[in-house]
Amino acid sequence: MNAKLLSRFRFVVASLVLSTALLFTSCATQRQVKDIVSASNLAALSTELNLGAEDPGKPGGQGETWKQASAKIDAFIAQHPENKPTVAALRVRQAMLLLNNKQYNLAHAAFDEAKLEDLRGSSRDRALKRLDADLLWWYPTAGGTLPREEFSSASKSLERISAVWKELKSPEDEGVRDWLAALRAWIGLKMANDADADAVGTNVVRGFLEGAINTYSSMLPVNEAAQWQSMPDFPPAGMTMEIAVNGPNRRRFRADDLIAAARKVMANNRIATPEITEPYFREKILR
Amino acid sequence: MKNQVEGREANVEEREVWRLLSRPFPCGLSGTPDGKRDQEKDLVVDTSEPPLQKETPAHSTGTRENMITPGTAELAVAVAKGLIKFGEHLDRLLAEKVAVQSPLALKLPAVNFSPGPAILKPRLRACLDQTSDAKPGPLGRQRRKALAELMAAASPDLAEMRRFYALAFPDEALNETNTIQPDANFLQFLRDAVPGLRETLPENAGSKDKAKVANYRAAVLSAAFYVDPGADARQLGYPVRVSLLVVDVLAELGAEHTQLFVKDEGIRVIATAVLERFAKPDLESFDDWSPVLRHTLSATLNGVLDARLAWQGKSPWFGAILQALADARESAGDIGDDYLLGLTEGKGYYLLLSNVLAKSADILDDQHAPLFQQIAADVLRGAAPLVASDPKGFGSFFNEHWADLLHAGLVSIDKHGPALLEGQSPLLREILLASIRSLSQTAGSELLSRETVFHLADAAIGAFASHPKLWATGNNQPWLDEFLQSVLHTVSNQGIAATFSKDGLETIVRQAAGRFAEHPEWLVKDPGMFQRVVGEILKRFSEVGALEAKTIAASAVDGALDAIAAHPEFIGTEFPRAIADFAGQLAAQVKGKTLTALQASDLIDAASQAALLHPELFASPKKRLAGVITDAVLAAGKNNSSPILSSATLVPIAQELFVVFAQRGFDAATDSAIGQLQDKLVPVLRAGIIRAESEMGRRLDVSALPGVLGGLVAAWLKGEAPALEPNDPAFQKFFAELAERALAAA
Repeated sequence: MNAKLLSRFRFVVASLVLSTALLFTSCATQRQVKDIVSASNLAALSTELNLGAEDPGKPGGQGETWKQASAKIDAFIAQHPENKPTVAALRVRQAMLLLNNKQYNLAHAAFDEAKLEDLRGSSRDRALKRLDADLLWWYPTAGGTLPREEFSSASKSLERISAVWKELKSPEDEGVRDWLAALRAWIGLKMANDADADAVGTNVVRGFLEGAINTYSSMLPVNEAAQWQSMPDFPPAGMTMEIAVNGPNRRRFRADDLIAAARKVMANNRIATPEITEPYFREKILR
Repeated sequence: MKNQVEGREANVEEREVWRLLSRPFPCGLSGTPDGKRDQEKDLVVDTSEPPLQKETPAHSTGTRENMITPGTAELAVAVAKGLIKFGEHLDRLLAEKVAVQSPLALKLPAVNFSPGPAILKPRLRACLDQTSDAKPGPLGRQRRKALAELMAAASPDLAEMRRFYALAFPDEALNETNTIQPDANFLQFLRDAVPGLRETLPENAGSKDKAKVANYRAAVLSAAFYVDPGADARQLGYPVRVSLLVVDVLAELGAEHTQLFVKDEGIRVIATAVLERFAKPDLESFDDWSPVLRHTLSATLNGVLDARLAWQGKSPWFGAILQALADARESAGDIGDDYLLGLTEGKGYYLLLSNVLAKSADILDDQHAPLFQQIAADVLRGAAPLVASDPKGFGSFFNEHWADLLHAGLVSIDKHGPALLEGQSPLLREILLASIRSLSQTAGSELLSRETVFHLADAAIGAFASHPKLWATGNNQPWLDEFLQSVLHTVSNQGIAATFSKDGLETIVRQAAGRFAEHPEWLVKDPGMFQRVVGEILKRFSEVGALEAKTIAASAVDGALDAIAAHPEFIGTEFPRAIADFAGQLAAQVKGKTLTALQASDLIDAASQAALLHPELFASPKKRLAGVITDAVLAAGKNNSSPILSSATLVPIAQELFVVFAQRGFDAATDSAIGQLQDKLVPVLRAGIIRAESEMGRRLDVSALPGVLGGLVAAWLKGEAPALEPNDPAFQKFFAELAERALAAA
């Protein structure tokens, strides 16, 4: 290598050293977003999990956590409106945070700000955005009574959730796919619980429950429920959290909650002998 | 430390970098000692290093060699600027990654499962039954009355029933189990399990800090509800986009300091322009390959256009084309770059800017290059609205072929002189614009190849250039329409398209278009001639559906055009139809395996040649003389097992007979006699063939057979042949004499 080239090479190396140094000093935006993600994740769950109360280090306490997290998102977007994927992802995050904190109008506004075409980086966010109307309907409805005139909306929501669920085929989609399957099942059980057999017929009411459970079981990976049946003790003693949060165990937790709810619905609305196709669910619901 | 790198002495540039790192940039860093920027000295870094290339002692200070040279300092500043930009953009990009790909805590809302209608109705009705207006119970009189009204309905409102149920049976209604948390089981497990995890927290092992422990617990609980972001539908992942960011920064650095990397001034200007354009948008914002590639292409061409002044004087033609493109880009306004990009998608663009350029420099001088440039710009501007209105149809065609049209224009100037460029409304511009209008209005243009378009434009320009009166009539658009539509109707004919392979049809049409370009006078006489010759011949094959159609059809088209070139008076006559009919007849023979495609081609050639010898006989579709003779020869040879009559022999015989009939067949082929000709000719040929078998090896060989049979037929046509009886001595003698003459002639 001649002297000139060598000299240039050294110069480039020195520049790279300088660049590395500069890089470490310029990650403010990244840190800001990490903080937003962390705060919004905690605030999304704080109300029902009492996380705020368990977090004395956080100022504002339980009732204010979501406001601070949401305000951080608004402030960040006001500073960085140009990056559309970032804005869209944060708006979906904000919408879910607000839904969980019963701020339905604000959640609606946040969903409106997220454009589907800017959400290509995450199938989860795309799915949530595509189902925004259903989520905005279900969250305020779940804790109350399902009005008679909203049963058709509920049925259409079930169809839309199934449609979105079917498009989530990648292995990376497992988390959101499971969540949507559970969402759909809970809506179905609510319909079964609140439907008036005198108005719609006994078969229809029973059909709501059968549809909720049978569709959910069909959305499980093949043979997974059969494996559950062969291992009746759950969660087994000594199961760690790391194991509990993996796909099959998380689904089983959800399934067992659904089974308990299905049994309650049967009692609540006098639904007799529903036809449950999957043996694990059938045995546990009808026993 | 500053002056030593890994145990050796640092060189000048390294020392300067360390110096830059160790203190703020002085204001006059990039200037000369007098504070003025000195471009020439900036370039010293790249081109005249002597002061910098010397290994100057690191400790020597205050000398010229030890000072930061303007070029190095400028580069260092640029590197620093680039790094800052890189840092900022990388930060933004990674922030996007965090926003998009971080887990999201998703929890389902708690659901109210209060008793449903099947429970509430009997309970509330029982409540009504057990109470009365006088003894209304816990509801009170008013509410009991309201409940009674509610329950009178067939299907009472559930929310109302629940309200009364809560009033009547508060203990049951306020049961906590009526609200179900969808993740109750999981949550319970977490609450049981998480405290045990406290001991596993590395930083807080043994920690008694309640706040920290609570924070940890909250984080763990939250994480348990995380849902991953799922699949990323974008083609470019974050690693690739970081790479693009590096490219972006390097492009910007390169654009600002091209002189350090490129010595040739012309190339440097272009490189700078390209790199500037390339670095303009933030490349890392692209998340699909397609826009990246489009941007790259666009930046390249636009950069070349921006730097077109660098080429001034080197090639007037190149300058003219670039300026025309620049004019078109600017006139297209906001969508100019896109329009330009579309134009570069055609393969002809590369040809135009590469192969053609070398030749074109000789064609256009400094005086005419600007005229051509103006015309080219007008053409591109004129086409822009047509492209915009039909981007997938004509737009796609134009993008592919604009360069072919301009190329044809250039060739035309070479052929017909620069007069095409001159005047208020230069002829070349008008013709090209009229051609574009015509092509935009007729379907099928997408089926034309680049070469075909070139030939067609060449032919059209040639027709007008060589016959100015044609243009002067002012009736040129219908003429052009007829010409171009005759081509488009031919290539877009469904039957033709189905018969020929795409390549096969394209070859025939391209070759034919080339012939028309050589003979623009054909179009002056008959603008629809393409369809009447090429289209008619090709149509016959689609009717017959012959295999190997391309070989016969190409020969038929060639033969017909050869004949027309030799006899322009055939234009406007029925000669093309006669050739087309004959070609169709032979196609049927090929399909029936009586002839091969090559033999059919030879026969078409022969018929075309015969038409030159006697147009009246062979150019008439009514007489179809070539067809009658061919049929007679094939009939004479039918059922004849003689080895001398192979298909290879029959064709030369027919060819010989075409000549004989051109010379002597007028009376036998009159309109009244032609109907019986085949029946009369077959016995003549059969008698000759029988005799030929006997004479073979005595005074005759296979190669002489066509000539001998031709002599026999000629004698027959003259009425000099004896009775056509093979065993008749007179006939035998006559035939022997023919054979002897042929042998002597050979």
